[in-house]
Amino acid sequence: MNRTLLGLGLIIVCAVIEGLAQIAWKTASVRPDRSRLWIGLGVVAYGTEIALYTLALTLVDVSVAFAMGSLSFVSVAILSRLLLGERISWMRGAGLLLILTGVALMGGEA
Amino acid sequence: MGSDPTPSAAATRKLPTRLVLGLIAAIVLDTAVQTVWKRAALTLPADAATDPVGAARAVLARPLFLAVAVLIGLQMVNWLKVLDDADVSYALPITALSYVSVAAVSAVWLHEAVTPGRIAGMVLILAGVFLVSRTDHNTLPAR
Repeated sequence: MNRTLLGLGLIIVCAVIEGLAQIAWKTASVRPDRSRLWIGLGVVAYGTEIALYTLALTLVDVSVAFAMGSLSFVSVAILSRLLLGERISWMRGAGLLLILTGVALMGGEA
Repeated sequence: MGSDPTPSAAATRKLPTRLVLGLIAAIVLDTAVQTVWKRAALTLPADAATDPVGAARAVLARPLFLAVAVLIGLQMVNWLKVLDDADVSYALPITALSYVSVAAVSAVWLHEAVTPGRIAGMVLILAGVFLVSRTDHNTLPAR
């Protein structure tokens, strides 16, 4: 597989994992009875993200990888909509669309 | 007229020096974390992505990764201090300026390219982060 594509793929996976970690910690705050489990899952997710991001940095420029990390705003919004029922206002949707467009531009320049 | 500032007065008043320094430190630390992390990643074997065990051993043997861990710790402590003085919706778009500083430092130190496409992408991301941070949320009010 092309090394740059692999790096971009790893950054996208990192953004999804970050979204899951945030959901886990949010769940911990609303489910005090199972908070240790959810906090632990969040820590495992962040550990995995750090490892994968390190690998991504061996494959793509940090100026691209760091900016593309803003995809986590998108994954957090989508996952919290799907799993926690949080709403996405039109302004937030517009912001997420701008982030997605910017990330696509950065990815094309990787 | 009461002593509590109205939202508009709060928005226009002079920022506390501690908050300004904290926001500057957040951008500096973000930039340091990312560029040192990249510098450290460049020391890993070329097959790191396909040999995770070898990559993990190499990470433990490189002092630069320890520096990254220390910088991340400092970054977290500073960020919590910033959030003592400011809402996350105010602080977050300001620290998104790190996208620009990381690109600038990585261009000089790591010889990464700064192309018109990357600059355009960065501007769109900054605008997006600003819009996302300006939306309604259910954050509990300060007590």
